[in-house]
Amino acid sequence: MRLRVKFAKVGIGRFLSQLEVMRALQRAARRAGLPLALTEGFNPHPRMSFGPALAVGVESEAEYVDLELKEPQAPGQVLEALARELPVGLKVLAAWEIPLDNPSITAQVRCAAYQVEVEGLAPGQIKEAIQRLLAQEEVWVLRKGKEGGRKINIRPGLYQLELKGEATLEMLLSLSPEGSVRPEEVVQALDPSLNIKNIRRTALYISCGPDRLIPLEHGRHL
Amino acid sequence: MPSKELKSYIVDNVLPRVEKPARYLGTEWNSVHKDWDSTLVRMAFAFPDLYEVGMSHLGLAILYGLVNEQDGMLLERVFAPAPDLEAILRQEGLPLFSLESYRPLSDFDVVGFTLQYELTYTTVLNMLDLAGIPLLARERGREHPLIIGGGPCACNPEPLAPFFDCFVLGDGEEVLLKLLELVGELKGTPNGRVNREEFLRRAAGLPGIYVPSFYEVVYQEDDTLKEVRPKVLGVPERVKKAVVADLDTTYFPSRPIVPYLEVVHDRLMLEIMRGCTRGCRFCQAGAIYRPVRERDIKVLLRQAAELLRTTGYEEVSLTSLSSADYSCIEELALALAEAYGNEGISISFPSLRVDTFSVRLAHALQKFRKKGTLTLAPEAGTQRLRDVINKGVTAEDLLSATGEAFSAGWQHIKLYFMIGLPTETEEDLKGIAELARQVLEQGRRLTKGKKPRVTVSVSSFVPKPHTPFQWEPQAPLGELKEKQKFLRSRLKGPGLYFSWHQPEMSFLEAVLARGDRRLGQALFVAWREGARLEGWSEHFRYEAWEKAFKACGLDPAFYAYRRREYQEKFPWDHLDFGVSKDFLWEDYQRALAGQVTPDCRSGRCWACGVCPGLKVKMRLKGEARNFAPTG
Repeated sequence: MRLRVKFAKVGIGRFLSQLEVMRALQRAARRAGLPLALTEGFNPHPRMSFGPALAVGVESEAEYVDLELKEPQAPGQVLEALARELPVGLKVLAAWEIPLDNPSITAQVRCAAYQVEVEGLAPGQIKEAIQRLLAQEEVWVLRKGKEGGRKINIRPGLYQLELKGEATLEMLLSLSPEGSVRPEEVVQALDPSLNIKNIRRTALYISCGPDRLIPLEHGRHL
Repeated sequence: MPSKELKSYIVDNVLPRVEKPARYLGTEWNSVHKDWDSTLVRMAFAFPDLYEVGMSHLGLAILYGLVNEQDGMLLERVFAPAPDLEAILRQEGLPLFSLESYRPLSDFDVVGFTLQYELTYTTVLNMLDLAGIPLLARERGREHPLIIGGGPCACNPEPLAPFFDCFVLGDGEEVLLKLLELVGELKGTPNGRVNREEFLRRAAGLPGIYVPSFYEVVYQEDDTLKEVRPKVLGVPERVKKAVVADLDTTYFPSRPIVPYLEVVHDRLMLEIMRGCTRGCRFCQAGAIYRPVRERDIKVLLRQAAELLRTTGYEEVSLTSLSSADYSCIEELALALAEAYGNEGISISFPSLRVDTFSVRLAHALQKFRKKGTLTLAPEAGTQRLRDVINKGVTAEDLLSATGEAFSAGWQHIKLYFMIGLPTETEEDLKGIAELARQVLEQGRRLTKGKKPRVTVSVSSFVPKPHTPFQWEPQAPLGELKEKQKFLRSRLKGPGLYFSWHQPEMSFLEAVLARGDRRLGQALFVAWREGARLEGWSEHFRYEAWEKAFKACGLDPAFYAYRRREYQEKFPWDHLDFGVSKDFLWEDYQRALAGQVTPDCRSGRCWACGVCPGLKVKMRLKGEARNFAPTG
């Protein structure tokens, strides 16, 4: 059977890399005694597949992993077993069965919501900067890469951006094979004098139309 | 700054700025967080290298579990900060802290450094300095922690003597609790302080405890040692190492820490035996960890089951100095593979012996796995020199082992050799190249259509205390470089690869390994000149040491390059690891005559002195077998 597990990576968990999170979850699953299905081939390892990677330093309350079991288990029991075995920084939130032919998390996700705490500008200035940014048709930023970097236009993938409270930006950004926007790029484009204090991913969605915001967990049959 | 504030400051303001912050979280699975205020005795285990190296160390796992399972005692970890964190700590005046409670090291009663490698000594000083603890033992008072050391380099800790209060010789789990109980008794209450003089006086009476300040070192005019004599009444003239007599009844941790980060040895470590009696004459571990003590296969199977449950690891390593020598290795390895193979858990050895038995066993364990690199250590290029070092391996052994490996699917063989060994000639170097070529040609014959590769990895011989070669000079730097060049030119061509170590690092290792107390000063100056994390070639700067030796008027060649006389007294002669100096000298003479000394497990006792001297016995769990030929 296949299960999709939603988990959070918060507090000191933000310092874990994607690889470290994967190892922690695999070892927790082994300690929990889950009947993990293994891959074929030279180096059998648990069939677990993760969603889009999160940078070191970024928190998330909406991470997902698909895992495959040799024998059926009640999702609630899997959740409880994992909860007992996870190290500080990682928390399981929900688990449900998905069809064996369900598309992978990465294939389903279209966009992600973030909360970004910033400092360096007054709320009024931030609001103005948001208006200015959203009024533009193209917003070019430099994305660092292996060979120096390249310019990309983040405007098409910037779906929503607003200020919540004094200094928290809420944004909805494209996260898909066709192109993704990173929250730090939005902040950079807003105003270079803004500093990021914390980034937290709050949700992954499988659809991002203005009136069709469907969280990944509700898209299990799509 | 109170520890809670220190922790939140570091987590919120420092960790976001460093590389690999998961090194410093301290909340790994199975980490132990005991209540500070109500715990009587608090010790920090300090590993003078990066987290990834330190967390691969079995000794840390053993002592961490052992101490933390006692009421009234806690043991927390601290590692050398990476250069980026060190820079921030220094810039912002933050103290080096323990990972569990984020306490400054100076808050602990005891800070225990493990001394695994001579090139970590400057890191020891750096960690003390980062903790704000006076480096010199005599400058520390009641308000400072006791600084203790253990591990293999404690078999000649003299260069570190000025900085340490005492050293633990031998198996630490045998004596550490007694030492900490003494600390507790002298403290009285959690807030009490230890009277250092009384502590040291009483500690010196415990097995395996060496208090360097209780001994006076007298030199002769030619700078060699005249004597080391006790200057305090009642301390032993020679300190005997502590030794675990029976591995089945001794403590082994059931809940070792599982790091978040990928560490060097990222797997479950089962200690299947301690000690090795093969008697390779260059090998210090083979001398100081005698006798051989095997752990019962039933105990090991039980430990494997429990540890897999508490850690979730996907690989079990059967560790010891020479795992293929464990008398029940085949039964154990196959039983584990059978029990856990279908859960995707693999079984491995840290090193393979040069014979077909080992290769077949490795193959049986990795039958369905992709074969990576197979590493074997013939150590020398000719039979003559292998006899001199008592390696007990022939060219036929090597070729039958590599033949087995190529047939089983390995395509990359790595061969370890040493250069600068006693009596080495050009023939021996040519022999290295020749063996490598033979293995490569064999590989081409046996792996048709594939492209086999052979890597020759060469390290420089370092004469070590307590070994038959302790009287030998190290080959000079220039000569080692020439030899490397010679080999490089002969190991060219498709399929052949050559890797080597920085000879300057081996030179410094040789100086410190057989050093005396006067080197403490050079150590201090080198640290002040910026030396630290010297086991990493990217951080190693020999210039710091050149300055240090000059400033102290010490000649490093005196320590590294001098051939010692039979009667010379060594700075470590008063530290008794069981193997007698007479035996070592006899074995050295046999070496020079090209004669081997067979493993005593084959039945013949060579009177090395360990069993009667330490009142212990070799403990085998099955029939000793699979010896390499005896020459």
